[in-house]
Amino acid sequence: MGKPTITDQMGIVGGQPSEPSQTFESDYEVVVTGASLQEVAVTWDLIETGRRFDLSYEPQVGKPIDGGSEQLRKFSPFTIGFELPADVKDLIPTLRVGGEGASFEQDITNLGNAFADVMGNGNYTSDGFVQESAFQQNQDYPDASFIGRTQISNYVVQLLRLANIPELQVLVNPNSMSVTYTKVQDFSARTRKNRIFRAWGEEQPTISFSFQTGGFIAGQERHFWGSDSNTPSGLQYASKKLSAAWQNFMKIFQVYQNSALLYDTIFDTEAHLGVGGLVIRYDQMIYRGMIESFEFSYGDETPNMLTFDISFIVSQMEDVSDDSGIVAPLYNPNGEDFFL
Amino acid sequence: MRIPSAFEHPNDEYNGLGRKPVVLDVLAPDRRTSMLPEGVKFVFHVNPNELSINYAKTISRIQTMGGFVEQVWGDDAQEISMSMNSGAFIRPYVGVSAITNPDYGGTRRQTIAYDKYLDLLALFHSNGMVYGINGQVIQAGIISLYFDNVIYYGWFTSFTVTESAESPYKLDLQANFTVDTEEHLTFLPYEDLSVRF
Repeated sequence: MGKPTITDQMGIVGGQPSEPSQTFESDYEVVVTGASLQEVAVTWDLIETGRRFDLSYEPQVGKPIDGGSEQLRKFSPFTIGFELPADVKDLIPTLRVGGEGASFEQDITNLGNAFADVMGNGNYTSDGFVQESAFQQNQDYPDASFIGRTQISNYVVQLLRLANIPELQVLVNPNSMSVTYTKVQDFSARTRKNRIFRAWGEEQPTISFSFQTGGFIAGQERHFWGSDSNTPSGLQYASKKLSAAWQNFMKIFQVYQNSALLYDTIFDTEAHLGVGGLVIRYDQMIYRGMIESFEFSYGDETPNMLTFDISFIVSQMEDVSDDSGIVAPLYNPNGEDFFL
Repeated sequence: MRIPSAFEHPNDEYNGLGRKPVVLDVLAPDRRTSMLPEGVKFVFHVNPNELSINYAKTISRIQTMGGFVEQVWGDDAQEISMSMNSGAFIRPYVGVSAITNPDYGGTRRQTIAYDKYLDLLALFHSNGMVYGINGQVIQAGIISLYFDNVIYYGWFTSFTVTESAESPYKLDLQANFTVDTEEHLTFLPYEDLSVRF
């Protein structure tokens, strides 16, 4: 295994592009990229998955084929995304996930400033900060504590990645979704006059999802930068890694592996730097919580596809529908006036 | 024009059409006063497709050298399990709908079936409890479940909502209800009455 790497992209907040890829001779690497805001971690290969799950990406060859209908997906989208740690929301109340809204850039700047205040160093967001931090900490081992500047940089970089990654739309909606609500109450204690009823409210709701991916199907794609030889194509197992179905599944799996945890990638420990949550949006409902279990299986009766099950524990459930509770006049599906 | 519910009123049982609605009410801690608005009761859009009432005795049996000792402690808590479905998400001129994105016009929420499901979910969450400002239970009322001249008083214990690709355009619902007391109104056969007179 190579040296642990820190990629500092704070230059996007300071606004000054830096020299590309400076590497220090120490037990860890600090790579300063000076990326622009648009380049901050919008790709899935930058989403951490923890020390026990190593996920690598290769450039795509061939062409992933999504056999589904994008239009139909718009009618009933099912998305999953990240919720930032609650303490960050205390710092920047307006910060949202998925880079939504025009104020996102300002939010990011505020986030940088907030941590600069913590550090007592106004240059925290500059490109030279991580470089300086590394030298100051004897080049061998940076401060292991969370208060260490390098670790804070690590924290903020991962935070920005989670904040900026768009919510993932599942290509094939779950074929089964089951929400279970359970009361916390007891009716077992007996007296001479019937039982005593005691109630404490409700458990956290549990949602069980069953999914099937689409088929593993890919096509040939000819580019001057493309593969010289034929790549697997059509519906077959060999097309798996090239297919849209598999790649979408892996992103969902990656969301589970990440689970909105901010990892200690410097020391490769399981002393996590922070924890947020996951957000599922479906049917004008927002489910915030955590995936408790994830199971996927191959089966001989359903070849060239995967089935997978997710158990999701809800911490907060929000109904964002503006329906009044009274069945409203009907929309004309042809986009004209209401039916009355 | 509308596609009506199976029931229009909690008293549909007496309208001569032979329908017997399952009716739910939320009662205050005095267990008599309804906490729903005057004249309002919850009537299902579609009656449960299964209403299973389970009784059991609390009996422990201990084996001894001289045989079994039976200890009878009376009634176990009785449970009612209900299997329901929401009814179809259907609107006039549109038919059934599985659309959930409001950006594309009327969604499945714009149906009586979905609306009734939300009502039932709200009733489950209430469960007759009076909640404090922090959401904790501060007083316990009770739910009454009426069907065919029997009233069951009790509380919901669980509620499961399932939608699946195999049965689209509706939700499958499962609820469990623990019974505190029950009242039956039935007829005394004429032969029995004649003994009295």
